[in-house]
Amino acid sequence: MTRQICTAVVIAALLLATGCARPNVSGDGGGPEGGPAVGGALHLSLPAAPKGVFNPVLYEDQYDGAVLDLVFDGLLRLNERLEYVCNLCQSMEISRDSRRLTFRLKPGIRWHDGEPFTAEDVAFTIRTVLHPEYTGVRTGDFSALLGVERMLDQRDALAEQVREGRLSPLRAAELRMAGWETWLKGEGAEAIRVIDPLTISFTTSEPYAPILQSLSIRIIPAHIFRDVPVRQMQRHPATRQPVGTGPYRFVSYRPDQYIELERFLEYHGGEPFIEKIIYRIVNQDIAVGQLLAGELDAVRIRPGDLDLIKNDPNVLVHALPAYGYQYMGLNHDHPVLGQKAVRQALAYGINRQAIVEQLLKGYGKVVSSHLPPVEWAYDPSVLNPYPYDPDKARALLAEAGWKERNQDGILVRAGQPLTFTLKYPAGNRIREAAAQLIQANLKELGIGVELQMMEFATLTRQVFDQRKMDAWLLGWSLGLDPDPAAIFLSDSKWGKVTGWHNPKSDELIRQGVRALSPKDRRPIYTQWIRLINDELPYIFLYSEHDLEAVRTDRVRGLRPDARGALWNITELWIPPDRQ
Amino acid sequence: MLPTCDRGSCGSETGWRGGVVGYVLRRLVQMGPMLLGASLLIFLVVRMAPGDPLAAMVDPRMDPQKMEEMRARLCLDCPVLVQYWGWLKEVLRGDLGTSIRFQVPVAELIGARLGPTILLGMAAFGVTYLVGIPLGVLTAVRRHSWLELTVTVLSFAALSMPAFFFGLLLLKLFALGGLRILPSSGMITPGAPYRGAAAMLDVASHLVLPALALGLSGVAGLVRYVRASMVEVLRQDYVRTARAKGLAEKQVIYRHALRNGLIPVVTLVGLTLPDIVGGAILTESIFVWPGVGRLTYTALLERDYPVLMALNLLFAGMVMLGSLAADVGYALVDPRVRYE
Repeated sequence: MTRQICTAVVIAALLLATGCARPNVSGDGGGPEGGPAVGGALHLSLPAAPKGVFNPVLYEDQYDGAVLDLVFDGLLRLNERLEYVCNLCQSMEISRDSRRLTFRLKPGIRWHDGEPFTAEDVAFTIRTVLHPEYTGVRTGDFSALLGVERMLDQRDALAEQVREGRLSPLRAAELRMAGWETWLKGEGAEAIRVIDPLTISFTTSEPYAPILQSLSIRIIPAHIFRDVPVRQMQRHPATRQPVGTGPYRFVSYRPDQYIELERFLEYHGGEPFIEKIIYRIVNQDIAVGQLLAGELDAVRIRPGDLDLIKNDPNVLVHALPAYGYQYMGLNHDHPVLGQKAVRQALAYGINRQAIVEQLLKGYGKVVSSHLPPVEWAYDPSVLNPYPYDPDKARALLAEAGWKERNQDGILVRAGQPLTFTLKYPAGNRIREAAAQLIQANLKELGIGVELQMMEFATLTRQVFDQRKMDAWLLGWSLGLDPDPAAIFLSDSKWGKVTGWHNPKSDELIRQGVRALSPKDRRPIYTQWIRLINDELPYIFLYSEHDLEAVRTDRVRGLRPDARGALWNITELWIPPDRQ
Repeated sequence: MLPTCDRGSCGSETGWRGGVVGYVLRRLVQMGPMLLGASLLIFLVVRMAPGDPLAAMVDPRMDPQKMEEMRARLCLDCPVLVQYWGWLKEVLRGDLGTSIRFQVPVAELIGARLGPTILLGMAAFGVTYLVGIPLGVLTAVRRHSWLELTVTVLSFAALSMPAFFFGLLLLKLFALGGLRILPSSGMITPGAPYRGAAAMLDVASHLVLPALALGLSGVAGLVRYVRASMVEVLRQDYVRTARAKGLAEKQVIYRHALRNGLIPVVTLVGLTLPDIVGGAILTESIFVWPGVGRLTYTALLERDYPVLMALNLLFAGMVMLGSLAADVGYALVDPRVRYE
């Protein structure tokens, strides 16, 4: 799954020891006794300034998230196959009916301020997210817990009554609090149960597999936030200056410049070697130059940057498939795009392989269905790959009655020309180029595509709120649980945009979350992706690989895998002569 | 707009001073309604741009219910004038609102970034005038020389080069490519424990490239201005008289001609202020300078309305102050100008 490209490696010895991709920690030489050396500062980059909401339950911004990754730990973490395994816990036990999960926490874990970490912290974190005055966006992640769905339905009903003017906002707030108190004392006590300081269990109403992903939420310290009203957590100093249990302690954030972190000596996963981590806010256009000049140790690059890097023997490029894909969305209420034969003809008629080979320089793959990022979830061999085949596309169109052409060479059926407008956002150069390619490919088939490029915010408003579109280009990035409900369940906000309804699909989606083990879920999702692959509610296009470039003369101990190039941050080190 | 007076009706020295103070006060009072008008206009234009702060949140994990709540809380679907009135009430009370993106008060957000922008602006200003004026004078004095030709060619080249490209060129020459003698981005060395003079030196070294990029882009225009004005002055009778009296050429140029030649340039000082602010958006983005320019760019992309409004008002105010400064400066250097 993971592909590495080794542009070059410093010295032959390193090459031999590491095979380019997997240097082992002790073998690459350079430390005092050839082993890892302590000290130094790692310079990482962020292409935009974080918002500064360094609180795992409140943040929404991915750059805040990047910092939180190092400062906070969750109960669970990912292994190299992207499965959830214990992190702050020693063991996780699933009851026979798959509804109860019991975690034994690792003993002796400390917060960065020295306080002990306990099950109370875990319970506090999740109760915060469910609290009626919580201002963040994660409440829905825990709706599977016992009684939560009902409590949330009650909140929705109250909000509805306030909107209709039948209830004062103040009274509604009181009722919400009352509902919360009732839940806490009733089902809530069972849903989140602290058994002893190092044991906690969670119970769901029904078996619900994505709960594992939700329970991997990074834990916040109860001893700091306990007396803070939930509504004010956003403004609390500890949201700006966080205290976590992760490998690095937060030191400071200079807005719009950099974030400084310092190693946490009592980290439960082992003391990190690198003394400081500096997350610099960089300009994407010059970041590669900064990497080559040695000002940065790791940056995200674009396929177009590879030429700049290939001559530097000290830079390793790690490519990993993005958790997501790009697609051409279709409005199924459009007179021609609603027809399956036309959609399949589009899939055959767009040269998606060319997009991957030419625009992505091979660092990506063609996608033919909604594919979850984790391999265990489906069997890809069942899919029709829709290879580029203009003749097949023409045949499909002819079968559906599109045979005659008008004077512009556009196919016509019963007086109706086969044309549509394709809207796409400005900003992503590859997507912009793909739009041109799609237009050219389809013109050959006799399909007229009018391109409309617009700003991202404009596009999303027109597509998702006003449904003023025929077809559009966008991408989804996906979470690690394969459940596609948010995007394809036909009554979900994003799912209903296409106007495509399929009872079988809805049923499979609902079924997919009821089993907890990957082995039981796989056949369901395999069946579902096959259905989507045949029906094509979207035209699936391609998935880009994320490219990370790392300076290997400075950063040692790298073991890049599906989690990224720097996932094993506590094992990384910098040779003393390069500190 | 500029009330000049003919010789006969001008007041005494004290009257002139009083005139300026009164004039400045009057202009400042006028700025109130002008800013109000500008704020309404800006508000309408900003809201006319499609999309809103929540439109960028296309996230399958985002709860649609929550989005509706946020939209309602921010009053994004209210009629525009209702939104404007809500905003204005708060501003008149001294509250610029809270940034939607950063979730901190707008005043705090801008306040933290104003210092770096002023520093960069002043440095760029210095570069523009320290390079532009001497070059302008030189080219005026040595007309039709190789020097003039070189400066003319270079300044036209600079005029036609986009600012971001010039910035990248400087980076390539002095920070990342050729000579690696200056830091490429930011305002301070991250994590460095500098104090006192060392810290100032650190900031100064980070300032060089952005100040050059921003400052040099204005030089070309200024050179043309100074040159034209100097050429004009050098043709005047009093310059000929000065020369006829046997004054040294240096004295003629610097004591007599330059003072008069710079009068139109003073107007330019006030009027280039908005240019520097506008240029800061690009320059700050290229060099990751933590000022209001970068903030403007982010706020624009994210439709962070409260931040955009505050920044635009700030810029409008600066434009007005700049033109006021130009008018007053004009009076200070040109004895023929009087204000009533």
